[in-house]
Amino acid sequence: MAYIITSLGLMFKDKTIIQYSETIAGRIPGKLIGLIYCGFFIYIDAVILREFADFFTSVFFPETPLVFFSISIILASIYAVRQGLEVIARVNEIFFLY
Amino acid sequence: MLRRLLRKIKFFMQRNFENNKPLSSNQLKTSLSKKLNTNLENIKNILNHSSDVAIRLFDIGSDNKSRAAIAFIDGLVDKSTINEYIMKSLMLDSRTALPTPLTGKKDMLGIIKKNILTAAELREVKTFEELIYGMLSGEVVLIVDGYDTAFIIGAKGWESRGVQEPNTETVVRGPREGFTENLRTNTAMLRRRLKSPNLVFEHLKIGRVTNTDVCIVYIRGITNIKIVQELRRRLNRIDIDGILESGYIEQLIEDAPFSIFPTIGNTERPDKVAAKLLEGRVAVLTDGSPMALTLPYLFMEGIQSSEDYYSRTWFSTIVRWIRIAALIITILLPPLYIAGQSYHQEMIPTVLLLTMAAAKEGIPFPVFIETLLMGISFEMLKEAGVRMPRPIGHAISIVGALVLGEAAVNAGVVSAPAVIVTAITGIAGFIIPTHNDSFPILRLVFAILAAIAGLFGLLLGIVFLLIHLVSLRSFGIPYLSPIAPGIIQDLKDTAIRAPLWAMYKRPRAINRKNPVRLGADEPSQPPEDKEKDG
Repeated sequence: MAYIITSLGLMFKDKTIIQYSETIAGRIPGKLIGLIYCGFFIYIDAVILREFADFFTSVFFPETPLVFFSISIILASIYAVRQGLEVIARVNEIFFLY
Repeated sequence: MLRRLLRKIKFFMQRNFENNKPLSSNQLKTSLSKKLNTNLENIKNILNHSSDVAIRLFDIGSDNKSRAAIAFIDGLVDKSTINEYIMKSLMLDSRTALPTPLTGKKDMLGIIKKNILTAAELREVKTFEELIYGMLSGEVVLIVDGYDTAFIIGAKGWESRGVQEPNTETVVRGPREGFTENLRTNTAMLRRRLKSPNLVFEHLKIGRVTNTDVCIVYIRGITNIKIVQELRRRLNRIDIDGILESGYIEQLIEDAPFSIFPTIGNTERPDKVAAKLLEGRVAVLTDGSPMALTLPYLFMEGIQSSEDYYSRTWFSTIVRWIRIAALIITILLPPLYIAGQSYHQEMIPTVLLLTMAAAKEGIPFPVFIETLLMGISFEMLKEAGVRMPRPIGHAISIVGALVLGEAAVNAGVVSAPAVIVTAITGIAGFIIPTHNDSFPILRLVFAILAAIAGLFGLLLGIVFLLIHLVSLRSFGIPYLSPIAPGIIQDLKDTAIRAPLWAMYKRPRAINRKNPVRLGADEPSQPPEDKEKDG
């Protein structure tokens, strides 16, 4: 799987996965693939967010609404994403010690 | 009627006569004329007949027929130099000197230059621009009637502070010299430490009105030339009327003007600047300011002190740890106290919790307000202590200690633990002076976060802080290197200060070329038999 993604990425260097899936599979199926791809990440993110917030509400702050934790951690993520990939990598470098 | 009108016209003309327009550049660009009087008149006009312009007319030559004049700004020149080496040479010695007595016919300027003037610094100028800027920077202008070339003679000498021990960065071991306000003295202090032809001083003038002399300093071959080029580009882009302190330059060229962290360092110590230059950094000296800028500036430099390298390894390493601990305490102790008191009582050991609860009995404020009040009053005390004249400063510290410490606790306004927390935080903050500007802000933000959401808020704050720190760059070098990006080799000079013989390479973060700084033959071992000089 990783091999396929890497080689595809190398083949279409200046395009995103959603862009080149249209060239490979055609317009409608390509859009569908893109949609599934986005949907997959939205789903995963939602699950992770929920787990994270659930953890905090159940363990530390039983009276605080769930949304507070979700929103605050999303804000942090937005900030990191805005600063770029390098920043995310560097922060992880600090947190997980190389 | 007519008379009144005339008076009005006269008044109008008089008012118009005093023009407030700045000098046009054309007026400066004109070249000197052959007539002495025209030149002197021009100088007076350009300088707007200021009271500190001094002009002295005299006759030279064996037949006393040639007129000459010197012009200078009073107060910027050394009068004894003028008397001894300019006036005396021209008026007395020139008549007795053989075999070329000064007469009106020959090439007088050449003779004056080659045979008569005994001043060391001398150059010829042809335009008023050079002439006026020479005068304004303290040089003496000599004009001879009949020639359209003027001599600029170096006789600078003005009142200035001597070389003193720097107030901001005192050391127990190490040189006691500090930079002064005079650019030349500062460059000399660096040159004396780095007697190398590769040490480069690059001169710039910044400021439309102040024309401040600014010097870029680097060592050719060690510095990454790209940093110098980038610095030059940024300095040339500055278009401001005045540079009064190196802080102006710092704020105009720094990478992250909105960040609370400095991306350009400053120091008052020539030995520190020399060390930074040897590491491959670039320095900027500003005339009129004892603070030299060093760049690129990394976060880790905040916990480094020049004394670390002068003392022996073990001690320096321990001191580094203390500084790191202080860094964490000064930012995180008050927020942790707030979070622990208001949300996470279960995390505090029971005995300690009971003591703190007993101290808090009857205190009218919540923990956050209490800590905030103490924090603000501490910052006020600090500010008052800096601004006050020194004799009153002592009084302030007594008032601060007694009134705020003792009385506030006794009166039951704030609890004793809050006072202790504030005191420790304050002391810890002083240990790392370079980052001291950003600590109170961070502390406040973290305290608010901790008051809102306890440890979770604190965690969030730290994540934001890390993302921010990691995204910063100073002249292309990541601010948090060598931690992230991790450079194992450079870590030798962070939390530990490895022995000098083990740090045989220059910091890789700054420049990757020419990295070796210590004996290439036996790099990573201590000297065994024979003594080697550092």
